[in-house]
Amino acid sequence: MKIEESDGVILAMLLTDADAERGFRLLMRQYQEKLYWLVRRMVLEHEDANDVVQNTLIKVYRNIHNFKGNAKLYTWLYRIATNEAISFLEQKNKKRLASLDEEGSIIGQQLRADTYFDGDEVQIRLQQAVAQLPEKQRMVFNLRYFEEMSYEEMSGVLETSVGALKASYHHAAKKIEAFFTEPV
Amino acid sequence: MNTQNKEILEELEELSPILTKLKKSSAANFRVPDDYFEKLTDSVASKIHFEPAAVSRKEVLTAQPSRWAIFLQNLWQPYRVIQFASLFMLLGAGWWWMSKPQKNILSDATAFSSEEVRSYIDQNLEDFDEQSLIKSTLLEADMESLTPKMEEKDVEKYLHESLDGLTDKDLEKLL
Repeated sequence: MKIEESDGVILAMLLTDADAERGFRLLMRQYQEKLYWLVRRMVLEHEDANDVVQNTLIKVYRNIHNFKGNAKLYTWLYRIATNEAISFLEQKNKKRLASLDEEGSIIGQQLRADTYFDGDEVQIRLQQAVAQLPEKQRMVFNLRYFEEMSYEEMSGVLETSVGALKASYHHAAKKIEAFFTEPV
Repeated sequence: MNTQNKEILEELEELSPILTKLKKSSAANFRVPDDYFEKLTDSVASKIHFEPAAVSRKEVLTAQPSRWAIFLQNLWQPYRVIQFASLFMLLGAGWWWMSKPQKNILSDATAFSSEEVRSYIDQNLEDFDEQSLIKSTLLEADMESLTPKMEEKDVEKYLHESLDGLTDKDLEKLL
C-alpha cells in the first residue's frame, strides 16, 4: 500500500531548501500518475503526454511559492496541467491547420499507429467524437467521464461555476451520442 | 463503487446509454511503457537540478534589506566609525580654537605698576630695540621738544668741529 504524505507535509518540504528535492519527489509520486492520465486523455499520444506532464511538473516546482493554499493542492496541479495541455493542443493544431473532419481522421490514424493504445475501432471513434468538441467542453467531458471528478472539484480546476459545468457536460454527452448515431 | 462514482454513472445513464456502455470498456485502452512512472520522477528531477533559489526565491526577496538598511550597515563598520569620530574631533578642535577669546595684552599689562615696569626695563635694557623703545615710551610731541631746533649752518659747523677732533682711525671706524 502506498503511503500518502499530506499536502501540508509536501509543501513544507518543498519550501525548505534542504528538503526541496525530497518534497518534490513525494509530490511526483503522489500526483504524477493522475496528472499523466488527465493529460493523456487530452493529447492522446504517449510521447505528447510525456512532454506535457514533464513541463507541468517543472512549472509546478518553479511556481510552488505561488500556491496560495486556498485551494487543494491537486486542484492547483490539475489547473496547471490542463492549461499546459490546452496550450500544447493549440500549438499542434496551428501547425496542422486541419478542419474538424480532417482532425477526426488524423486522430484515428494516430491512435491506430500508437503502440501504447489498445482500444478497438469503437474506442477510436469515441476519441474522435471527443476531439470534435470545443476545447472547454472537451475538458469538462474528460474530467467527468474519464477522471470521475465531482462538479465541485472541477469548478476549482476550471474556475467555472458548477451550473455551467453541468450544462457543458450534458451538451458534450449529447453531441457524442449524436456522433455515434449519425451514419459514418 | 463509491457514492461519487455511482452518482456519475447514474447521471450518464440518463444522458447517454451509449456512453455508459463505452465507459465500461474504455478503462484500460491507453498504456504506458514499462516502469514509465518510476523513470518519470528521475527524468523530471534531472531537468530541475534543484537550484536552491527556485523554491525560496520569495523568502529571499522578502528577507532582502532595503537600500537604506544596506547603506546604514556599511556606514556602521568599525573603520568607518573611527574615521567619522576622528573627523568630528578635528572639526570640534578647530571650532574651539577659532572661537576662543584672544588674550588682551594691554589688560594684562595694567596688572603691573609703573615702578615695576621701569625696574624691569632698566634690568633688561639691552634686550630692547632703541627705536621701538623710544617710540613706545615717548609721544611725537616729546620727540620734537627733545630735538633742538638748529639751523643748517649750525649743523655744518658742529660737524666740522667734530671732524677736526677725529683721528684717521676714528674716521675708518665710523665709515
